[in-house]
Amino acid sequence: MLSMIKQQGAAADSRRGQALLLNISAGKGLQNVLKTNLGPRGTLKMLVGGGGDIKLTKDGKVLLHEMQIQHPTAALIARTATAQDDITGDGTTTNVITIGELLKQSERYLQENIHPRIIAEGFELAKDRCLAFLEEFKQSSHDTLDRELLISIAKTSLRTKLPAELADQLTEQVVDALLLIHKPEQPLDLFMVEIMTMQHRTDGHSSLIKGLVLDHGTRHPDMPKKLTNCFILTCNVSLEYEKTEVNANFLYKDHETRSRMIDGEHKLVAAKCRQIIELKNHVCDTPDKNFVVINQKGIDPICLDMLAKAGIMGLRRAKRRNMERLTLACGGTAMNSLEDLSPDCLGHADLVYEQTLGEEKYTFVEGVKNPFSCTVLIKGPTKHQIEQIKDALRDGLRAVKNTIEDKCVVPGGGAFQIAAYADLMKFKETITGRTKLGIQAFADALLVVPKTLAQNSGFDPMDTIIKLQEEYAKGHIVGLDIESGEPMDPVSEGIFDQYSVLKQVYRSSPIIASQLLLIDEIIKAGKGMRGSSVPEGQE
Amino acid sequence: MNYSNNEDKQELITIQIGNFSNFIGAHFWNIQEENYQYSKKEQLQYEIEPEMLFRSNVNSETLDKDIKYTPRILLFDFKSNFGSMNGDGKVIRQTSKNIENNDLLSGGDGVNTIIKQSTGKPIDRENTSIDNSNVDFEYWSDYLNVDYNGRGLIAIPDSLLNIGSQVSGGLIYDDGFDMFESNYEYVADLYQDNLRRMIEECDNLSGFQCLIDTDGIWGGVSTSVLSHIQDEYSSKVISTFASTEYNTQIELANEESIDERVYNSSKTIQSIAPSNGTGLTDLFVPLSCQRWWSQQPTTKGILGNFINKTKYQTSAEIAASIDTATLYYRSNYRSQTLASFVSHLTSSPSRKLCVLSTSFPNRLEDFGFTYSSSLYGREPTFPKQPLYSHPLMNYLSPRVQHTTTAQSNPLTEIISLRGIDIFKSIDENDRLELQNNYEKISSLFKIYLSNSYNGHGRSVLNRSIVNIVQPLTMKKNHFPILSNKFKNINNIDNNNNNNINQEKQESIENPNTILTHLQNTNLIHPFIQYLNQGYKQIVQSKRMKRLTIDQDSFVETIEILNYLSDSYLE
Repeated sequence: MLSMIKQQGAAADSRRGQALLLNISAGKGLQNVLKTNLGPRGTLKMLVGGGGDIKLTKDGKVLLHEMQIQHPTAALIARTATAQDDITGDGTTTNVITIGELLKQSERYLQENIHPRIIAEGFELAKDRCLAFLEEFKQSSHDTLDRELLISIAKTSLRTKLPAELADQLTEQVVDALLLIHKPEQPLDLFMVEIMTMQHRTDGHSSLIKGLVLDHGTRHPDMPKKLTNCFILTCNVSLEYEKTEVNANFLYKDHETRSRMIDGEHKLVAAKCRQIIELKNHVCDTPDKNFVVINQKGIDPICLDMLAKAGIMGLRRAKRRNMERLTLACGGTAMNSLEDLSPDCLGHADLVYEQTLGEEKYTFVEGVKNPFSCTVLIKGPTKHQIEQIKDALRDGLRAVKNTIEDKCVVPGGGAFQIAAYADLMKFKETITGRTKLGIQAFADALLVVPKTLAQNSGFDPMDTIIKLQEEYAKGHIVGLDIESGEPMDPVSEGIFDQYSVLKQVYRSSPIIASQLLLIDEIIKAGKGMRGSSVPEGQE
Repeated sequence: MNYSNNEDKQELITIQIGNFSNFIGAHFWNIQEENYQYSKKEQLQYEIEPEMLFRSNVNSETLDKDIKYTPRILLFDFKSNFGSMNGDGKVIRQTSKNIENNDLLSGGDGVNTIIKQSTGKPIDRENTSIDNSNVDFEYWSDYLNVDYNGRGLIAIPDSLLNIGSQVSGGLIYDDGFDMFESNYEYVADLYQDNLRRMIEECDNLSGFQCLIDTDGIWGGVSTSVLSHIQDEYSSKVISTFASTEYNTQIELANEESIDERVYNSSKTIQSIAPSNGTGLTDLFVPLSCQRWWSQQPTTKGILGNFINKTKYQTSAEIAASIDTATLYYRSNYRSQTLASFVSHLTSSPSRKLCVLSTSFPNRLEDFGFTYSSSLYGREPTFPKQPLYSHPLMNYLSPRVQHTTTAQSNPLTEIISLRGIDIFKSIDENDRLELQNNYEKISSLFKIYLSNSYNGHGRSVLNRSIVNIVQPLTMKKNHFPILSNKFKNINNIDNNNNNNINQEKQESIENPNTILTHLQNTNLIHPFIQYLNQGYKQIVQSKRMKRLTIDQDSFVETIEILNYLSDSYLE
């Protein structure tokens, strides 16, 4: 296939045909790869890495990121689709198969010698009409903070990525997590939902923790492993003996002087440590109160020892982002110096405990005052399963976030595509001239989503589409029921698409498709790698 | 765990950025793996402390389990360069059966190259009889003999580089820097948390030793990574070995390739090691394995034995040299840290660049040292040339020449010596004495150095001589043969060439002694000046088409390079 690029000396006309052919077949090829993964009933792909790493996925974005795509056109399409994911977090597969289908539909007309420009113009008109129709079709009457609705949204998104039981369980966690961190009139900060993974037990043990899980533990054997009713000091203060300047040398006569000088340095650090211990003794006036220090900088063994002796749990090198989350969750302020240390700076949590899993340690901070930050803990038996859940979870969170921010939903199960098709058919009648054909191609391409859904669920695509269209003609909003293959009402079934995803798909895919159609030649640019002045192929 | 006794114990994190650096790194870890020997000096268990570079999976609850040591390492490379190493840091060793299966993993109508991952051909670890010293490897994981820790492996997806493979010329510094900065969120996710967790494990982290590539995008990537480290762990020391790989285009004097290298080297040095104290590293050692600075590169590379200039070969020589040169802080006899190593070498923050030269003395009689018992007791004789201009010392740093002028004495230096076979023809008693008395060799060197440096400028400010007895012994199946090319260059006559041919036919024994010399010297001045001029020319003549440089950054770079070269004049 690639050899075509290098071919020279062919007539201009046939070359145009070849370039188009090359692009169309690339689009179709990529479509064929991703097609089978669409929808809850789609099948999986297994990616095998060079070192025998295995990844199972049906998430289009993950696939496109991990596959090695060498075909330039395919790479172009893949990049558009992944950009879609960067913006909306979903809809990669839809995007790719729509682009593929647009090219495929145009191919028919191209063979009848219609100029690609005409088709591209038709696409342009159809795209505007389609987006206008989306505005009409969306349903903004729903309360998008309603838990039931959000659960439907999350379910629709997660079920396309994970087995049903697993998806249903995660659904509630996703929605609860977002409702927890949602503050009115403020954009949702997804960073406030931490995703932690543990390779442990079976899947189905994933849980939402209204607090934090830190991925490290204590580093001293005598430190308490479980504390209740804790004051929490979050700080960014180095408790390590360190030389102030790289170029400042100790000048010493013998070993004794040297160790005395080092001791002097140590005293400074020890003084800081003592300050913390004093505060602990001050606030923990009754034996049931406890004290935890979470430090973003290091704590050296000597300080750990001091803290352990005072019964304080000390954690070092906390994640920068967790420092923010900690103060949000537990209250208090993060201290950058210990000078104005006071009881007001402290946060509070009911329970802090450490859990060890093989090599890894985790520290749970639970029972916090105002959980504006939370953690979804994914437990899975194998690494690839954890990865799969993690990818899906991220998409689920994005889906719910989109809905909350869009303040509207679109009935799913292919309902929009069926309705938009009918609308475009009406629109086509109002247009005169060959541009019609472009609109026809666009409308046909829309149907690829319900068609693929039907195909992946084991039904005849044509049959199903006709059934749906007949039902739609009666004036109902219909989607495809993947269980029975019959038309259903997506609103009552609780199957919703996200408005921003659809908008993005139908905005970007016609653009890239018409650009690809308008390419008349593929020319090798540049002098080739390594700066060789001899063109490749002539060597 | 015992907390009372390890006050002086330091931990280091090794950072490897770039494909060639990973080749070097793989050799470096192989050397570490194979050279743990018990010390002959009493009390100390090892000559080189293993816990400095390696982490163990032990924590207080799992003391009874199997202990596994893995290097404390943060490694950057493209995903497709990992070969058959998987995400956990283990190399999957293939049988012929699953190589066949590999071809089946392609699909997609018409786009049939979509799903295909490249895999390497790892060597058989156990079969030590295979001699791999003359072959080349495509992936560094092929000959790696240790398991890495999966957490430190940062596989950059190939798709992240937003430039088609069809760009004219190679990739440059800016591509790498832009790649990391424009995908900052994503990239930060890849490595920053893993690095933090690695540091969290350390009780007494003393710093970072970095192996970075200057070529291609890696200079830019290093800048981005090192500035994060500088930002987050500001009090820790960073030492950097920056290398360029062997490039056949450069060997053929392809101007475009040389321009790219000059540009990349200038940018890397300018951003990582400027002389105004704001740099991202505390010590910077440029390394190269071929000559690329003269108009007509000689056919003889700096490195590589006469036939092989493969990545495998050249990286091994660099790795062995770095291993020996860093003994100052890694050897167990001296409680030195990376910080003291750096402050020993860099007397002032404006002179961060150091020069490394190395020698694999196979037949050390050539070197000029003798140490033998005679009627009058032991009479050592020394080479006449000072060490820095000794023809057997092979400069790995680019554009440094063996000159002896009035000002060529180094400001500071560290001489490291591994193995004691430096004196071949001595009797058994002497050998034993040398083995047991470490000071003997260093005092011999001290005499030699102070004699030969006389009359070449001011005296050396800091000098340190580090020697360990343990020789460099590597199994043939994963280490090439090191050799000292300069004995060839010195007397090029037919006679000598014949010798080499003969030598080739006999099996060359790997020398097990290594002598390295790290110096902070004015000898680096011509190199910086060369970069300075080259950079100016490239930008002004607009020879590199892809390059768009605004006036400000051009002036800034030139200024920094000027300032840098000035500080090596006095």
